[in-house]
Amino acid sequence: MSEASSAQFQESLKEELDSISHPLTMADDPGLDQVLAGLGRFRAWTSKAKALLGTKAEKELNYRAKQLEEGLKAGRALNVGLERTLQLILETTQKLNASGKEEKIDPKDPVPQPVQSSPKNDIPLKGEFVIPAEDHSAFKEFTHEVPEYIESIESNLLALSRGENWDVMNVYRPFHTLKGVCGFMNLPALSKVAHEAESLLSPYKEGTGRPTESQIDLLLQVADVFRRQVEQVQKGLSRGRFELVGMGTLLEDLTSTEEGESSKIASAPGKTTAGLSVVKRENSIRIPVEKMDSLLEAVGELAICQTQVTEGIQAAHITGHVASESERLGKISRMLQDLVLSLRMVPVESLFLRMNRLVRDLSQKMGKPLRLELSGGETELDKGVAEELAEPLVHLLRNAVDHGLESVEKRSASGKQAEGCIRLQASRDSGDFILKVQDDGGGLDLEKLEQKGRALGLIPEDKEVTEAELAELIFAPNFSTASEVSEVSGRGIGMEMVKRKVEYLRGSVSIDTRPGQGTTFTLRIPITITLMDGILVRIRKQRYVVPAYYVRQMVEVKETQRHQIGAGPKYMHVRDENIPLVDIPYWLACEPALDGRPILVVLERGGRQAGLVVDEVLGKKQVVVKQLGETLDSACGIAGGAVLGDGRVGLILDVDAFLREKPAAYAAN
Amino acid sequence: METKSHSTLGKYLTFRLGGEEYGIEILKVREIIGLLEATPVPQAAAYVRGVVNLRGKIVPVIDLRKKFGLPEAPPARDNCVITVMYEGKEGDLLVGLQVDKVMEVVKVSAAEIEPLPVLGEDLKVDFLLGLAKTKERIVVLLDVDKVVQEQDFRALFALNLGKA
Repeated sequence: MSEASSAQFQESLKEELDSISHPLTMADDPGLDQVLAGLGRFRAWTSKAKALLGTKAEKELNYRAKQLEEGLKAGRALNVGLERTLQLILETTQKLNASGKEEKIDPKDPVPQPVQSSPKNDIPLKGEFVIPAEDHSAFKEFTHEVPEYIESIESNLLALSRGENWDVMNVYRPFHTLKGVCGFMNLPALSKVAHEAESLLSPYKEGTGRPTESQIDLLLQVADVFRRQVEQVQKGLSRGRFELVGMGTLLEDLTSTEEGESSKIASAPGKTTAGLSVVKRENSIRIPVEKMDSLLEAVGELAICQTQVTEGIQAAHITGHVASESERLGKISRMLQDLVLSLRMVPVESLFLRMNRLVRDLSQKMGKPLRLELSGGETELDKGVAEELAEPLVHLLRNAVDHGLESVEKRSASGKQAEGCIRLQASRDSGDFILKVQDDGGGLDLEKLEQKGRALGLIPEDKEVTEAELAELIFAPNFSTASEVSEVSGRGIGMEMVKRKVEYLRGSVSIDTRPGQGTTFTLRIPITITLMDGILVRIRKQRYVVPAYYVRQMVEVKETQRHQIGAGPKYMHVRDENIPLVDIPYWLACEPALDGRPILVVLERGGRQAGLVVDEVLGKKQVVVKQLGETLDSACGIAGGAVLGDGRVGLILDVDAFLREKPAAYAAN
Repeated sequence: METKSHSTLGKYLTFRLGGEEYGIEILKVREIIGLLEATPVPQAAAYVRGVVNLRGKIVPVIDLRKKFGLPEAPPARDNCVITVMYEGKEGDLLVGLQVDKVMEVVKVSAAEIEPLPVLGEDLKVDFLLGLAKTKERIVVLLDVDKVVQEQDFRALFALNLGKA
């Protein structure tokens, strides 16, 4: 090959490859089409350059491009594999150029070759995997993309197990893609297990028959292996190495599984259930959370700067054009802030889909047939909040299956369907996210609750209690009416955790229970914890933000209303109520003001009250909540910080701590 | 146990604190800012001056004089805050270190590193990377991560004084 033609070859190849890989960064439909078109051109180009390349190399390049094309068409554009193949193509051509036409291409290159040809025993199933430096970003992408395929696999398998319409390809395809990805990433064991899963499914590709329950179980286990591997990769990414997960006898189980009763239920023709399609091609961009946070910070600063400019203009009595423009600037910066905050919103659907799996496992474990009905999956909430909600939701569902639903015998005895029903319903109500978890079980056993509550001293002996108060008892720590601790629940920890988490998210949870008809838990949570409505107050020289959500009322008070029991707790007599005071010297290291015209901010939460004496109430303000970081972990009584209108930091008071803990300085004064 | 070997060689930003000059690895330094008015945090350690708003980020500021148990000095024009990225328990965090005066960036070569003096058996000195003799003066090289995390240097130093 002559020097000139070789250089020309390289040049035009690079151009072609650029045109292929560039649109990928946009990850949208036109991008994919462009890539496919680019690949087509590339293949046409290689056959034209046959003379230059030599037949063998031409075949090889063409083969790889074609494989890539097929991979792209089969599923979503898989950046991981694509980049790697592009690189391989480039390397191949370089190799070709370096050593002439006769160069043989190593057939063992990690192209997505099916791995079944390699003997089973050669594959390392365990050990440590060192990430090659150049593959770091590919592995990062791996941790993002693989969960999407797992989700698709799981939701479709679960639909199958529920007896809904399904399309075998919706499970087959993601397994196929996973096999390819793991081949690229040099993870032969995973590639192998995905391949076996594929083989298990292939008999059903004809459109007749369905996998058996035990086969579905196996396939779900394969999905678990991938999930665990993703976790390991996530953990090890920064260190550049990770543990390969073990998979026990899964490989053997997969290969030895019997063929399903191939025509027991003919797979219904036509479309699959809506909402369970294979991973959707989304017209979207993935952005790291840190970048989003920086964006939010910058926009926040812009708003502050703008406020100060406006104030300056007003102070200088400037009117007319400049003043109106500055007002416009204010509107724009507020709009920007809203926009940035809305970027953090995600539909709750993915959280719901995760619960599908849990409910199926629980149903099997407890021997209670049931169906899970989901609605309102499109309702949006802050990504952070959605993540925090996962844990309480798990506990609520466990509780519903274990304690809510009766046994099959009991259900049929009371004339109910043997199959229980749990409804998960999301909606929005005036800025709050509402989540309902409803079961059609027997309802709470209020009598048992009362017995237990009295026995534990949670209800004062001579006090009458309402049904609502009894129901509330299940949120008490270590409270359980279950006579046995089962694998699923019964330790009395879960429900307390639900309550704590919901309160942490500044929300509330209520219970509606009807004997014989079931129980509904309703969670009401602000859609974001990034933004908070606060009351800005001044205590001595410092300004603090009190979360508005706790504030019941604000009253002007006088020194004479303040009382103290001995040297013990102080309280204030306000409108015929005696309100214990927040111990300001203890929490905030300063003396409370009582000389001027102090204001008592009455805080309330979960039936407990406390009064905070402040010098001045400066107004209501929506703030962006920030953590202070571990350097300031010791600062209890402070929940975080917020940048105020003048650009300085105001501390957010940890009202929960004020209400929870006993006044510290009983004896101090 | 610790796999990361800390190479002492490289560039350091030096600053003055009391009569001594200290150096911190330049790679840890983000920027040098003036003294912003800090919001004091009740119940925080005494050496934490408070938190400041740095372009929308809330950053704690540590008064290194207080942290090292030096007497307070009247504010001077040269006083400033060096913001550094340190390795926290849950990822990297930004923190400000208030110093008397920022000096310069020095390159430390192997020949300039002097062994640490024996400072007493009980004195934990792992926050020191070494002493560098450069341009006819001694610069105390600090391990930023340890300096930020160490809770109480005053106790440490007092212990040493007691022994001397």
